[in-house]
Amino acid sequence: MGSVVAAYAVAWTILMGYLVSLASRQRHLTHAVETLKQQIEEK
Amino acid sequence: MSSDANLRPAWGKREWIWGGITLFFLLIGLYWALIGAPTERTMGVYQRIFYYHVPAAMAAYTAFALNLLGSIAYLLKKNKKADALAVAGAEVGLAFLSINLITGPIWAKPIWGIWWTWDARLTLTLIMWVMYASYLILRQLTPSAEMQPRLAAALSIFFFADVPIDYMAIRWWRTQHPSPVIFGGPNSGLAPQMQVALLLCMIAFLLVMGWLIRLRYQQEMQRYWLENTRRELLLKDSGHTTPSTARS
Repeated sequence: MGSVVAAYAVAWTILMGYLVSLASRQRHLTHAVETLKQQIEEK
Repeated sequence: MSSDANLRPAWGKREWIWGGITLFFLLIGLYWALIGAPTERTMGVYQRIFYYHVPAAMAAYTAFALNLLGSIAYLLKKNKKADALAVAGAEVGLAFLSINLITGPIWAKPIWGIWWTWDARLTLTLIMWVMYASYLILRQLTPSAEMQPRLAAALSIFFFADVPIDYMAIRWWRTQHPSPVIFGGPNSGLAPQMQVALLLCMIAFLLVMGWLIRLRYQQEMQRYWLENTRRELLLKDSGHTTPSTARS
């Protein structure tokens, strides 16, 4: 059963890891977009 | 200034609903894969890895097909949305192919006694992983904003040739990898409860794949808006104007 648990854990870890990396990239993007919008408004 | 239409929030209401439905299918699929489906006679409990191993490959193939569609559309229309779909397809497809490539050896070790063999299917899948990984690396390393998507699109058409060959490998060549149990001819097939487990996991994985591609696609469009707006601001500051490199 150990192999089965390992295989399923790998699948969930990769999917969750990718989702976390997307969320992190989104945070940076949102920040960059807000900063740029602010710059445009100031001009 | 670039269109704000590219600035649609990546995590809107639709994405949360889609995420909720996906999680539901993932959990119900997990139940059927581990408990609902009967234990297979020859491989025993290890066969349960099949319910994640096969859907992961199918999700990867589908994502790479979207990458191909996006690439062809980009080459024909130079549309940024098509390029964003291509990037999202390659990245998400690679994540699913990684699941397939890791769960395979975990399954192989107790059944074959070895982690890996240079069998046609395994080798072609590994080559596919290397090709799409190099596609993403290439996108990071190519400096020109106009040249990068064009070069990547051309390469992706060439790379996709591996997908149908990989799918057909276990039908064309009888090697170490088991023969197909679905669409595999008269001697193939699954017990009805196993079919339910496989179908549920397949739906779950395709939903996850679609959801992740949607999120990644929206991010790419936002990144494009950022780059384009910054460039336009710089040009405006220096008193120059230039047309956009791609249609959004």
